[in-house]
Amino acid sequence: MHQVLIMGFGLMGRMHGDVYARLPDVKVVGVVDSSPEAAGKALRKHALGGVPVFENLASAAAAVDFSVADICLPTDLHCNIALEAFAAGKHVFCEKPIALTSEEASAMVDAAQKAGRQFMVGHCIRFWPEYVELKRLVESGEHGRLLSLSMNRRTGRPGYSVGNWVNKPERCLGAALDLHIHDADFLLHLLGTPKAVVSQGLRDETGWSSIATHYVYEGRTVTAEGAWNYPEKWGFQMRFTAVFEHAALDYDSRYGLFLGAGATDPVVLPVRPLDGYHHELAYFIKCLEQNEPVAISTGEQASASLDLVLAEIESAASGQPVFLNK
Amino acid sequence: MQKIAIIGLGFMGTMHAQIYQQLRHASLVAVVDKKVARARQALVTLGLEAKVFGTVEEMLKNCDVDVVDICLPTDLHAPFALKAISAGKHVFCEKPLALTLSDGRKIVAAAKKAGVFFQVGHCIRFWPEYMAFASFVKSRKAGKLLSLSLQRRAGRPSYSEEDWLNNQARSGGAALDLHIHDTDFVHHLLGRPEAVTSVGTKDKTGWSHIFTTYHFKAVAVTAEGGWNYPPHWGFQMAFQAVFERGAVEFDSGANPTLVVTLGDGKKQPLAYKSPGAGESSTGSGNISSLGGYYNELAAFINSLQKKMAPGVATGDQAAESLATTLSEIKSATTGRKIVL
Repeated sequence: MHQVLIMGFGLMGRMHGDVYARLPDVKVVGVVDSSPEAAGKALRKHALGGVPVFENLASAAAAVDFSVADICLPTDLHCNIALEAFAAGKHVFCEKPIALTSEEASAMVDAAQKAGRQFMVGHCIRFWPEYVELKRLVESGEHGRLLSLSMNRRTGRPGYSVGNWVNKPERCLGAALDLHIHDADFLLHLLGTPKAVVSQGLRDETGWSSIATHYVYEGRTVTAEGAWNYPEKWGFQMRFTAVFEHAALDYDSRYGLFLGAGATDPVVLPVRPLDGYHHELAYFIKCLEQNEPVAISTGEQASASLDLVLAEIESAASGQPVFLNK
Repeated sequence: MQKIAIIGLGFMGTMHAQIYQQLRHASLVAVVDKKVARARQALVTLGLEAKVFGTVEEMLKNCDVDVVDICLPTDLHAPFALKAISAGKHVFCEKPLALTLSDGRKIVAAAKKAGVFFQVGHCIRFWPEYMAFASFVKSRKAGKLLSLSLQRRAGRPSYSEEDWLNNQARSGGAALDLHIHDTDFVHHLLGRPEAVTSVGTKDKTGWSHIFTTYHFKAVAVTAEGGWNYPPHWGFQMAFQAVFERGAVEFDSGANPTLVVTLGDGKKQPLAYKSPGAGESSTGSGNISSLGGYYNELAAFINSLQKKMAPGVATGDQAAESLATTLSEIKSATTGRKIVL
């Protein structure tokens, strides 16, 4: 059994609270939030009534026993809080993106190693059922080689964040780092590091609110677009189209996952139930329970995803390709 | 009344024949096809009467036509267009204009010199949803256009005579035959980009899937076109446009196809005008509605009737779209950004 302290009970913290409530071997024992009243109310709504709310990690540590700090705070706060948690001997699950800079990310990875604690980052798309199926089909080769992949992630401008932090470039770096990194990270997971990136984007007072990238890989074509400058009530869409030698796999969060292969019309592909938020936390808790190192969505991987997106931003800003020497 | 000869009664020629039948000021009087018997049969099936010839020379000798409509494989556009132009005929030529820029320019120059009207089948400029979108952009109802991404996806074409579409030397692959629709529409809407960066999938049929970034100063534009989807995957054309205060989406497979979201409002259908024409009865290829095909031919016949040169999908415009698409292919081939 692992005891979790959720740090930040906003959109993501509540999502995690819901998942923990359904998982065995884990219990939420406290929440850290700068608005204790709102957090208390939300806890009751999320079937976590009675869970105490603390001002910070230290006061929580003084009052309750916990082995895991789950950081659901704005990106600019990730590094310091994670370092504090590792120093206190806690395992850390940290929301994506890992941090705003490579230096911060390295410091976090080093701290986890030094403390000998588990560290996982919330790149939930690696665990999202439709994307898991895409990876399975790429690796099995049952429809031939993957020829091309294009991915999109689109949404209205986020209006839900505390203090509107996601629309502040110095706290979040815009849609490129907060939204689009999901696809960049998944590409690293699926295909490894590209040789180069060529990006185009839109920059406004909230940072890079839209970015579109060609990822240069040998022998296949990969593009991804992420934008949150859609109208407020436009909704959310994530989608991809993967063309294989003998099939095409289409996913759209509005319609589902479709496989078109051979001489039949595209069919709906069933995927495993529950979403990536569930599966990532279930995996993390399982690793802790079985004392196995986290291998998917590690701190190192999340650092690489951050570096990739920073390269994309550099390319979008300069209009030139950026080569990745790795 | 404009008397028309269609050269090539394949997929596109058949489509055009059905449209002329519905146009008041057009009359299909002749068809040229090297498979004469099959063309006769096709006309019977369509319930059309027209003389059928095996060569364009025979047709020109025996028929008094005003317009030659070229629905041949791309590699034959230049020789047949030049023949028709030198016979003093007005020419409607299917897209793409030609395989090379020099051929394309030769046709355009010849038409100008002969003083005949010339239009190219860039039907997306006339496609109802794209027209409605273009006027929405102009209206600035949602402010400035910030970004536009366009897609055109299809199973591999299996319907072409001698499979010419899958022969790179004759069609230029999906990049030049399919994706050029979107390149052309981008020009129509925004003018010529400063540069292009393209990547894609190349196989023995040419660039069968291409992804392009069009570099403009103030708007982010990308397009994807590919026909290497599975044979039964179907056809999809789509775009997404984000404005300062709104978004417009089109998806040929969605219902409704064209949707707008304005300010903090909800998604709603964006109205567009469909022409009177019905469905194509050919049942092949990747289009079921005659929409843009009808509009483009109606516009061409109208310009002939009014003796006013075509202003949309002109030879010069088609040459420019061809030049950009060829630059996209060059970019995909070299891995470099190509400045236009």
